Amino acid sequence: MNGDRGLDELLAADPVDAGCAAGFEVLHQYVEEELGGGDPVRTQPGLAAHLRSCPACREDYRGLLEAAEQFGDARPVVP
Amino acid sequence: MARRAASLRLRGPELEDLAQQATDDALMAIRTKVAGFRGESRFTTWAYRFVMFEVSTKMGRHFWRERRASLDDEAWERLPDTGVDSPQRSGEQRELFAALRRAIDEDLTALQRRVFVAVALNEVPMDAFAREVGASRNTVYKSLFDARRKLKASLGAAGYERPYSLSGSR
Repeated sequence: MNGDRGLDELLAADPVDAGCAAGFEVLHQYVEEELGGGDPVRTQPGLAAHLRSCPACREDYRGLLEAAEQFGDARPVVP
Repeated sequence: MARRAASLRLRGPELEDLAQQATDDALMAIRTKVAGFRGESRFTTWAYRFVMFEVSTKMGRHFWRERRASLDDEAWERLPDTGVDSPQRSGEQRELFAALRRAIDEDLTALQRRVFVAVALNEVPMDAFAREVGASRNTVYKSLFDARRKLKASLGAAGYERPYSLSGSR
């Protein structure tokens, strides 16, 4: 366990937390809104709360944000 | 995937193999789900979600090969060091953690205790834990969420409220 994690973080359980399955359903919209300069923390508070508390979904979110930013406009290569 | 691979010391052919498995399974998921794409985002962003999920799943599988962490190791000595700087605060911290320990032992179900100790205290990845116990990530998270909620309630009943300050919140 990292020394810089406090007890508050260990016990984080926000009642608006959407959960993994519901969060996955809208994660792409959340990421697109963020990349578009919007504020998904305000518009999707349930997923925002979940990403603060769920290390697995937070890792997926980071990966998706990076992939969408770098390869979001990729097109199929037609031979 | 390369970013996550570093923490698991994955490299070379093994990393390539894992990447190929994740790609194959993600493509299968995308084919199955593509009729549900409603244009709420770019198609690529919608599709990359499945890639991220499959990468997490494969990483979770690999985790146990690299680190045989005990799911039931309570690791109390690793509870957060929040910067104790006086004998009085040290005593308050001990009381707080003793209350937390009691709550973990007495107020959680067996699964909640196991999830909290493994994922929250020992930092076992949720997908690795889910694989070990044969549950979905969502189910594991729900148990973790319920455990955290119960522990907060137990600490509250014992007179501790957030933020759990060492200056004495009782």
